[in-house]
Amino acid sequence: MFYDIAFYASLLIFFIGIGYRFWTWFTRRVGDVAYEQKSTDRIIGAVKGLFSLVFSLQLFYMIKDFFLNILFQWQILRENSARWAMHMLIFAGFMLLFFLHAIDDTYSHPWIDGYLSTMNPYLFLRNLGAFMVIAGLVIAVYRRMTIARLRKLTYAMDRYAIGILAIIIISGVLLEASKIVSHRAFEDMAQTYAHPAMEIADYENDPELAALMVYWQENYGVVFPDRLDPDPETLALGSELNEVFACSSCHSPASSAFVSYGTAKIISPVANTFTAAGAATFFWYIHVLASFIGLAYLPFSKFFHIFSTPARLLSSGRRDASPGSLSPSPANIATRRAMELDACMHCANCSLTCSVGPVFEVMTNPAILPSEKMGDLRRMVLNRTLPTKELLRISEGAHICTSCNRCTTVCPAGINLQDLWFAIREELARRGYPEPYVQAMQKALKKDVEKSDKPTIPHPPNGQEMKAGLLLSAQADTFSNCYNCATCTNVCPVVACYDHPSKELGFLPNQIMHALGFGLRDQILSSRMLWDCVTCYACQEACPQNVRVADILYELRNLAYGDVRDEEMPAAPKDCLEKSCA
Amino acid sequence: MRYSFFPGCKIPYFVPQYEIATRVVCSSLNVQLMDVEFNCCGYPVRNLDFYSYLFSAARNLAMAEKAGEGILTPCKCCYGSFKRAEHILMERKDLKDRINEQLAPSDLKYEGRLKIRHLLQVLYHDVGIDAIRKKIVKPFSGAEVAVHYGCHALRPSKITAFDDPYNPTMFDELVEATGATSVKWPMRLDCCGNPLWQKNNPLSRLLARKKILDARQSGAQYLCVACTYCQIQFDHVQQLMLEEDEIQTPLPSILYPQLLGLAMGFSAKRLGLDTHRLDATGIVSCQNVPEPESAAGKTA
Repeated sequence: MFYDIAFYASLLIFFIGIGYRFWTWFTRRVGDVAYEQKSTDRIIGAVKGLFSLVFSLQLFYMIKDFFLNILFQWQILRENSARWAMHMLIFAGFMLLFFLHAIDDTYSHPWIDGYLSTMNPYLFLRNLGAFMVIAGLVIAVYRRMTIARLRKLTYAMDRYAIGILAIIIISGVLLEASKIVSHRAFEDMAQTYAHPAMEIADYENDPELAALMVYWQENYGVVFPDRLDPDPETLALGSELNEVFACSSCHSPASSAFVSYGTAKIISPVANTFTAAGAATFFWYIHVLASFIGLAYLPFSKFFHIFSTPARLLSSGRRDASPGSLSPSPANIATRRAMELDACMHCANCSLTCSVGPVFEVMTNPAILPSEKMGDLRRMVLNRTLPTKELLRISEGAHICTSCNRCTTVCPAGINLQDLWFAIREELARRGYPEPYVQAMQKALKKDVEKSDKPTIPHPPNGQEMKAGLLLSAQADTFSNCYNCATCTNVCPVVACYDHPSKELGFLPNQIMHALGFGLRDQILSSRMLWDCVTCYACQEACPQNVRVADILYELRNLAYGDVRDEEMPAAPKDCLEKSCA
Repeated sequence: MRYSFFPGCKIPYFVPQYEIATRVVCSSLNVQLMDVEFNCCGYPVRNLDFYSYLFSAARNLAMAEKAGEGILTPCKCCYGSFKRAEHILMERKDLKDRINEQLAPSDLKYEGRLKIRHLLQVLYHDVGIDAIRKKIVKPFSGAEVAVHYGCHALRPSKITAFDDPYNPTMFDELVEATGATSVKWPMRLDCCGNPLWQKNNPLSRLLARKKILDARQSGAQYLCVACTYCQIQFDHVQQLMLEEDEIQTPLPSILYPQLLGLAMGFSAKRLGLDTHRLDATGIVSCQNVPEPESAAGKTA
């Protein structure tokens, strides 16, 4: 009763969840293209696309993808053999358990002739499955703990995934082990098949029962309240009776269940306490509950990838990841992007090879890394009103990405990540978050309003302070060498673009160098010149005083961006610029 | 000659033909390119955070040192980025120590003894113009090419040590070695405008437009670049400018290893010349039909 209710309830939640997730593939909007497509068009587009896939040569690629990338997981092996071993052990082990154990009523019994869960090879295979999953989980935990970046990127959902699998498998093993050692279980069986009135407490008066008990104690791991003496004669009789009562026709030796049997041996000193406390029932509840929770929560956890990732791989695999190949319709791009949000299982493989990984090490904004951007994009799509602070953080990460395409090439789910990073920038632009450079510029230029006709040189001039803040790019403080010859301004190609450069650009390069001496921070940062610098280094090359003009301009922009970080993202990790100055 | 090859971030997705052509040319000139899984050179983040830039650059240099050879990049911005980092780390021991402390967990250490080379330097200094000439089998004749030097390798010359900052000749000589004519044009040392792309697009385009018009006025049929960003600017951005009628006639840009590769007898397709947004394949028509025996001798 309990079992049935729990099972059907969790199955119901599972199906509702799966249906909901599938539905979001046609309704979620990711990037500009999605805003022009109706959900109905996307569904029609997907059906059409599916047909054109199935009735074309692409079908062969789909079949190839199914075997190579879904069953054999070649795309994981190609990147990392430890990960492949981990994933394959869990995947194959769990499949074994799923078919031969979890659904044995619906699958094994009707389909496999002579299936008996207590007989070999099934007894052995079940344990093999458990062993594989445990080994896979050990590798998973080991990798998550020893690879520094992976450790930083392990969150509750990753721990849940490993945890729920571990609970299911370990409780299953303990359940089987407590049944192995249980003399009660032996007694029940003996009463059913040998003698209904039998009591094992009476074994001293019943030599046959004693012989069978000795045999089961020695060969099946049963632990009786009193340890029995296994003399060869009794054992031989026990062996014979094992046949006579047909025990052996239903029970392969318990040692075939090598994981549970080993566990049974370990718990044997306390086996009777276990049996007396009803450990088997306890572990049964844990095992069944954990399995049902896992089932019900599957569509909402990262295990949903067992559906979404193959769906993504089959829908077009990596065949559209490379530029210039299949170009799907806008409706299908919208659907594919929404699907890709779900296809990511946060393995963080991309983040381990990310080109701007070292920038993450310094700026410590997780949004810089692809696996984390994926979560940010998902949050942006689900929540249209994220706070400014969050959006700035996401924007920083999205724009520091150099579009090197490496994440896309290593993604085992075949997600076109590069394309999603274009989409995340589109999403940010929609909400008024351009790239950080432009944000810093906009913030700095606002100070322009305060710039009036009044004399601006502070008393006393605080050039020293400015100088102290410009110590990074070797000798940025060389601005004090400037004698205002304006060579830098005269060679500047940007200045040359304007008829009235001062009006358009504010302080020109020589004026910026000069103003630095007076510490005119706001006026400098709000000069358009600083932001329109094309970094060609013509000024620095030409300076007769060896002022590092272009390097200084770079550093001033760093200062301005530091302001954005300080004021708008107070929770963001402290800028390294300051760390170095401190 | 062996170098660790640093393609940079933009090549794989935006300009894959640059890497392809570089590999083709290098392997036939006996320059071995080793693959190391590098990270971003730091250049793109330099406007935001200096230390992030420095750490990114230094990490690559440390990896290349560990690989045991010099580092070769076809991108001028990556080159400039590395040279500047090298210079800063030489001047600033405190920063070097801090960087090395942060590199230690990855089992890396930057010593400061790495050879940093741009592709053109390797071709010019290591391979040599004479050796290149010997390999030319289909020289150009009458191809008017405007060489675009690229700022971040050229300046500041004290740091980059690439060529004479006011009268560089290396790129011209390399182009002329293929038989093509390097036209003299006033704005050849100016910036392509790409550093302002996505930051101030009108100004970025204006700078590119000035250069394109200047080069065409000076008689150039093609631009020749040796930098990923310059190629993006003169190919992708120029195409946008054409679409929006900012310029009327295209001046296609060709990457130097493509030009050299063509002259060495490789096909346009092999060098990825057919993948440009602005069709540059017409340059093939300026190539002399190879004459057995004497072809190489004539151009030398």
